[in-house]
Amino acid sequence: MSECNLLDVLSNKKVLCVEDEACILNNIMESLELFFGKVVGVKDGIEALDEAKSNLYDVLMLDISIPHMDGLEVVKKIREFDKKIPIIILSAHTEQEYLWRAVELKITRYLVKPYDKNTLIKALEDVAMELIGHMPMFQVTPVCKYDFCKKTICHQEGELVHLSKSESRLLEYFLKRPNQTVTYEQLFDYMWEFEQPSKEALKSIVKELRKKIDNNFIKNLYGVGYVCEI
Amino acid sequence: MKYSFKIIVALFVMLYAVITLLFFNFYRELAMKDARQEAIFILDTMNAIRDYVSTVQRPLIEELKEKKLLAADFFDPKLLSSSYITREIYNIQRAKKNINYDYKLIATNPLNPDHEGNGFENEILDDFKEGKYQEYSQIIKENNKPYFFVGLPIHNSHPSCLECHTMNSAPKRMIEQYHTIPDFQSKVGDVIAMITFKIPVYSILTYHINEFVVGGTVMFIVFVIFILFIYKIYRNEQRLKEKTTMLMMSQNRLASMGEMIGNISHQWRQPLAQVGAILINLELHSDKDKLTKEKLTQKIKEANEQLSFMSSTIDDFKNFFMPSTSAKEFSAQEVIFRAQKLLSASLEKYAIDVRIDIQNNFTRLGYANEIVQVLINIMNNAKEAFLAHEIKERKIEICAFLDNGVPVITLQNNAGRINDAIIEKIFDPYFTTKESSSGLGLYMSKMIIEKNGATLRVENSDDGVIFTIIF
Repeated sequence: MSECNLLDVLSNKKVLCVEDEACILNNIMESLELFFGKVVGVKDGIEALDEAKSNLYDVLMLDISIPHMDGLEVVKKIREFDKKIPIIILSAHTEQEYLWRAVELKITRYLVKPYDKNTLIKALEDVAMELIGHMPMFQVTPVCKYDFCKKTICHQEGELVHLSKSESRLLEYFLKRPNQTVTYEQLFDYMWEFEQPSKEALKSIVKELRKKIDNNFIKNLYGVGYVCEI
Repeated sequence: MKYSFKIIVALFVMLYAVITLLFFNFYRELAMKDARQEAIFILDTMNAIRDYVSTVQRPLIEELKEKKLLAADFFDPKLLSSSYITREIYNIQRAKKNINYDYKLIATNPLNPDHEGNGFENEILDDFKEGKYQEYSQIIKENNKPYFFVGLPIHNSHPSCLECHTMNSAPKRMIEQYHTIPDFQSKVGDVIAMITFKIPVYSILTYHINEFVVGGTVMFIVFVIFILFIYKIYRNEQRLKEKTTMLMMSQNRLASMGEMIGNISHQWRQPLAQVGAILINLELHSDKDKLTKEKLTQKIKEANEQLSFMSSTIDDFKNFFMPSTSAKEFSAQEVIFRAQKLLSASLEKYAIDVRIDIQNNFTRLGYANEIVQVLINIMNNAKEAFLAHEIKERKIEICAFLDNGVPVITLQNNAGRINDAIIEKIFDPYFTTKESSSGLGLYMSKMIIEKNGATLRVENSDDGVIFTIIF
């Protein structure tokens, strides 16, 4: 796997960034936009929790000292319904009390402010690794693999097929939930958020994926959604 | 020291006076006792001489008369009268000027009118005759001068006495000399007269002057040494007190320095984080070749803003720490706003709403920095109380106004009341309810406020505490 582009895994991901200081939030968002598909920033704990509950985010990045509810408290609440989402904590605090609380929350990284570029990159790489389950190449079917970094399908015969951004995003969503029912609503939310989604658009992406990979690995569940069988 | 030095010294002086008085009295008593003994010794000697005249001299003269060596009608008081002889001995002694006492014989109806006693002496003599006492010694007053008076009775100890003192048997020459001989009308052994000894008290005391002087001097020296000793202890105590105060001052200064440094780090944390975020942002954009000129300029501007904020923060703190050399005029508004600004980061962090109400922006002469320090201290305490009591709606209200013309600053918070049992003690040094506190903050605050000619008070309100600085 190329060292380059572990971070490319993030390019179709959505991140929530929580920081109360406007200027810092702005700069972090600008930085994150270089890596992530979409970046959303909020300024306080309650807002952050609401956003996270909508379940649309792939990664969270939180400051600890934010108004209303501190960052670790937000994470604790999130962990009640989402055990997996990678979380990076940003904080100027290095007090033991905070660190202990953080350890229990199974966060990916604890960045102490002020941090430097390399620390941030390293943290993002960790997040990327976590997102792909520490396997840059995923065996989708016995004959083809998916490369998270390059967003390509690699067939046994050596044929490389590139996926579009929405195709890879949808595929990765399925791969994260193997053999689980994925409803249309979940997919609408995840793929389009506030834009008007359409079943047709979704169907066409699924169709493309079936064409590029295998006809059968995504099954229709009539009137409900899909299930990805691996 | 609980009692003032002056009171202790006064007590000591009194004690010294009492002891000195007792001492002199004791010495005087002793001197009197000595004098009495001496007097009795002298009077006994006189009596012995009298006895010698009666028992030795007169029989010898009788013998000489019988042997016709003396004329049968020989009479001369110089040889025969014991009273005469003793008086003459006394006169000789007095002539040599080595005595300072009066010797006198007192008798009722004496042959010699010199032996007539005054009223007081006759009284004593009567008492002797009645056998009330065997000797008499007393301090008496004569012409307003104190004398030590000792009397001893004279017994009619020998028949030869009666011979002359009876009209019938008295020698013819004696009757010729005295014309009438008062009759003793008494038997051998009766009290017929008394001899007295009288010495001015003054001369007794002068005699003992050396002892008095030495004793007094020694006592005085001991007293002075004691006083010096106490003074030394007092000085040490004073110095210790000074040292403790100095120590407290520096402890408190260190504590407030620490707090201030905490505040600076609060104030700086945010801008530092911002500059850090800006730099990372620039670096990442540059790495990805997405750094446009506009972006760079904008980011540099943002960073500069943060830097100038940091610079102004550090200036505020520098001004606060600058020792003020002289009292200057400051306004209520100035000190209140300065205190709020210095604490702004931590007030914001703990979401404490500070409301400032300047009803009267009075000015005072004093050390503004010190007043600011006290305001910060009180606000910091409120902050800690908010956290300790887990109060959500945190409010501090600072008012400056004139209360009947008296300038007042009040700081009111809703951080919970102070227990009534300890509210009196919160200004005591080393009194604290917190684990990591020196207990000097409020003590020093009070000291500082008092140094600036004001008073600091505390009272409970419904849901918190009100501190009042009355200028």
